[in-house]
Amino acid sequence: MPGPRDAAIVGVHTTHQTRDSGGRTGLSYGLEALRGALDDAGLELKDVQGLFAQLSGWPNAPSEGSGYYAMANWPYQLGIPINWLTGAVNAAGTGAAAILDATAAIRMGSVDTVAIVLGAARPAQPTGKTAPWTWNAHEFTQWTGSITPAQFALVARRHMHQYGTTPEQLAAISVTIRNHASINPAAVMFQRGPYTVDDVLSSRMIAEPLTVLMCALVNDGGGALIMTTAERARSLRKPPVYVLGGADQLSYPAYAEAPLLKRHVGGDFSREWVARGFAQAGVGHDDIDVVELYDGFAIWALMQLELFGFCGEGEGGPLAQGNDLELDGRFPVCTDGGCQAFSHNGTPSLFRPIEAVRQLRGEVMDLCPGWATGDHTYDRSICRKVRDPKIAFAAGMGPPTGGGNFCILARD
Amino acid sequence: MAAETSEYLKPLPRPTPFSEPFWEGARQHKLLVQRCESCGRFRWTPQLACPWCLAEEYEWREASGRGTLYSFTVIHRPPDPVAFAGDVPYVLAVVELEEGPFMQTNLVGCPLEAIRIDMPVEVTFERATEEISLYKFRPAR
Ligand SMILES: [Zn+2]
Repeated sequence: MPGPRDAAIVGVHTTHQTRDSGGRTGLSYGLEALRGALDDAGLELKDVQGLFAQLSGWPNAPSEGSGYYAMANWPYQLGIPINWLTGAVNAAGTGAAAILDATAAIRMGSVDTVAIVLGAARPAQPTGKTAPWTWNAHEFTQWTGSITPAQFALVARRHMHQYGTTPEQLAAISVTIRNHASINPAAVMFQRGPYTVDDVLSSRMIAEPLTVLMCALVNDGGGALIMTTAERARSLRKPPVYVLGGADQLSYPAYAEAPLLKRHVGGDFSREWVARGFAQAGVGHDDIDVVELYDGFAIWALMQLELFGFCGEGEGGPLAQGNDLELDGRFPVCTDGGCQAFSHNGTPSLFRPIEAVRQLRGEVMDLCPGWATGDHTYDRSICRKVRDPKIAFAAGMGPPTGGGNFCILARD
Repeated sequence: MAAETSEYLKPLPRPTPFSEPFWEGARQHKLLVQRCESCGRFRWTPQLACPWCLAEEYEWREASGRGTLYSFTVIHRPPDPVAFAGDVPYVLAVVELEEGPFMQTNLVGCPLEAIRIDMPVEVTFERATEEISLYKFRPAR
């Protein structure tokens, strides 16, 4: 039985995504995105009662991680009372996890309208050093010289050993994803490419087998998404996108514990909770028209296809090599260019459901002359719009193996 | 030769009162791992309570130092190119200890082309400073 369609996404916005933010703060990006998303919905700030926010560089926040006190700045900053307030509990918190939380709050009747806001801007790094959040700053990890891509490379190498996955298969999924950004004017990597498997394999090696073109971007930017009751949604500007279901699982402390394909502590990435999320939504995998994976690294995109049941265990590699993940295939993935080529501002999980909403609404910016009015050519050298999608999947993942979340969205 | 402490530029662990017994063991070239006094299981990384039975009692037990290579990656892009200049490319590895736990570490003393997943490895200690000896693994002899 599908769950009730009683909560809907009614507004989305993304700011300029850039590798040169010129001193803007995460708050600045977040506020711009919030205004944009409210405008998209035809709502005003005073309509917002609930908030889920994750922002970097907020000078009024007492300190990083001081949860409640930092969050309590929000009503003051926005000038409105907030009746339901929560923050991201992990790096993937602002996406599907926040949408599921907000759906519950709306379904309970605690609030009618919720804003989910994301903004991040990072100070420039000293020449040559990788960004500090990639250092895996843990007592038993950092001394090894690990960086975040290396943690995913450990998983990739074991996956290759266990299932015969090849570097060509890893490159193939990055090619698919990156070539969507090539024709997306809003993407950081717009007009870069199109790429071939050889281009990806021959790009700079970061941590074997992952080359730089198999890794996420590092950039700044913001996004926001507005949700409200289905009843209210019907009277707003844009066609509502309903939240059908989803699921969330936390598993283990990433970058401290070794990333394993099979967990011996904390339990495996459970097929049961995936099945539960699909059952809640009342759909099967073949009903999904758009698959917004959280594609921080090629191996993680490929493994999510397995973990979420789009293919069997160890079958991600062969699936990545066919046409199934292309825009006209069974499971079009990361249609905006994803974390690898649209935007990765450190915590970009909100961009996955935002892109899903845009595909479902038919608001897809690409190189088609008529894109702004929804007229698409479906010529894949200029068009990244999926044909008539009705149901979309959006993931938000944390560590390499084990933890993550997803939501399933549908238009009327 | 200058003192080692001023020469070691790479990040070093900062022991806490909780982890100090482990680092004290490492100084003596012993690989100490927590063992639950209730269910007898070994665990890594150190935790206050057993993740299998929640018992809080544990002892630091010396591991055999033997294990197998679960996975590895050759890192070409270090976090800090100056500090790691002498190391690149270097090997980040996950070792499955004989006692059960999995450990992140560096694999050393092995030509890159000779590395094989599941190969037997053994611990070796590298003195970084007076306080810190790092536990690394090499092919078993
Ligand atoms: Zn125990």
